[in-house]
Amino acid sequence: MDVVTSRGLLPDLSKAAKLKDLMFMSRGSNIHWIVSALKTLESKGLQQLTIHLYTPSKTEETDNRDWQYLDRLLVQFWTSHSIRPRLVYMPNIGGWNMRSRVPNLLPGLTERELIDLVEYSPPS
Amino acid sequence: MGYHHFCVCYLPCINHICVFGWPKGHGTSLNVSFHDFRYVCFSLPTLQGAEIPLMTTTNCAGGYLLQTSECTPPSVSSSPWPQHWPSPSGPSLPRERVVCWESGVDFDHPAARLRVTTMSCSLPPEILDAIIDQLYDEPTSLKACCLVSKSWIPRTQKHLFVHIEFDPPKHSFGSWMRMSPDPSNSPAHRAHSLTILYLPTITFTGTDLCGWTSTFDNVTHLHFERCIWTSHSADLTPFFGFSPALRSLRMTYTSFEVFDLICSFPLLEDLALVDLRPEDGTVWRRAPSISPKLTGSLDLDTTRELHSVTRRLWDFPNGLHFAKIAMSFGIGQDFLLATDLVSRCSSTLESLNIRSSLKSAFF
Repeated sequence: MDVVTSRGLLPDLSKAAKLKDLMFMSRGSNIHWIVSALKTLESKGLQQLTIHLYTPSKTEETDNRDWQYLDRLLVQFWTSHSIRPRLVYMPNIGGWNMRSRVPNLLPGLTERELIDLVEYSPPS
Repeated sequence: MGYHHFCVCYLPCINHICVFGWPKGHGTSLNVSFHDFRYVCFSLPTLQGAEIPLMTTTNCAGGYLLQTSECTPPSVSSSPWPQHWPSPSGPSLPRERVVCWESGVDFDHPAARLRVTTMSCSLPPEILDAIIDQLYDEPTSLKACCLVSKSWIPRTQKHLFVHIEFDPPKHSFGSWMRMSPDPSNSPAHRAHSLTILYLPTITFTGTDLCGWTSTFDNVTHLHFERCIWTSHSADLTPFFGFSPALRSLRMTYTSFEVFDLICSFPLLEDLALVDLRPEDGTVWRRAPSISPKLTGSLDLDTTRELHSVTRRLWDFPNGLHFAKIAMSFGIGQDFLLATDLVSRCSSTLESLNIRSSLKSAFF
């Protein structure tokens, strides 16, 4: 199933017109659903956007196209809504150092310093 | 009247030290009452009391009886205070004692004057309440305050019993029933938050649970952890509508009977369902004609039965008006439910948290 035909199975947030706070938490390497959901977003009042990536593994394949889409979308959010996204990550999980890979995965955001990287700390 | 010896009482909650004199010649027992103070905590770490004999208390009409276990006055009885008190070699005092005298105390004695200036309960009740309120999150201090005075009990109980948790076997239902057998004056009325772990251990006790649950009539937050335990599913019927004020409900590992329970709380705003277990043939006991407000938060962490859960939610006649939604998904089809849920709450939804454990790039 390709990206286009799977769209019907992806979250559609276009009706959430009053959304202010949006958070995605992914325990896998798949961020396609996050990109798809963000594409549907039409809320004018969004104030906060957070993406948690908990268990990305270097053994799992990641689709670079999704990261490119995500990078482009988040830059647009900054331009249109002045939203500075937060990326919460687990350090070195599965040998996958998220912080060191962010410049490659999200170059647009990194170059403009438009993203907050937050290392996940479990609740005490 | 001279003094045999003195005792020092320290109220940790108000940093209050009170000194009392022991009237000479009263023999081995004293009928005592000091306002309605019953106990005072002896908390001074250096307090030693060779000159204070072992005392026991028995309740009696009009006050408390203070008795000495020694018939002869202590050896330092004739010595003036404070030069010969405390005695470093004496036995330690217990932490709680009746320390009130009915009459016959020479109030000219410096110890008695100190008592008058520090112990007299001249503070307005609302000030005392404000002092106790400062201790709302210090249960040890609250327990000490609760033992100080009858008049302090209602305010301290307000904080001591605001959160009640049954966590068997440590905090069991049986010990609660022994402590509070009379429902009319049960501290359960003061509870705002009720947590029950392993609910079947309570529902299988054979007790009239409807009468018991009705004592928790001011609970606004209810949390049931593991409503199914060792394959036994708890009967939720005694909890139907037990607290009309309920605004928040969290249930884990439960059956679909929970939806009948939800509809019995008209003011319910926040709902959290974790790990619902499927039950074949489970249907509405009675199709709801009215449903709660559900204007707060919804947390769905039940990936197995998400489809059935949302179908029940769609049945609520008053609709869904959540401002906050958090939900977990396991398979791609579940995202359709997310879209549907967002659509149904579109006029109120302000915060959305979507959790997914999808691994494949496409689905």
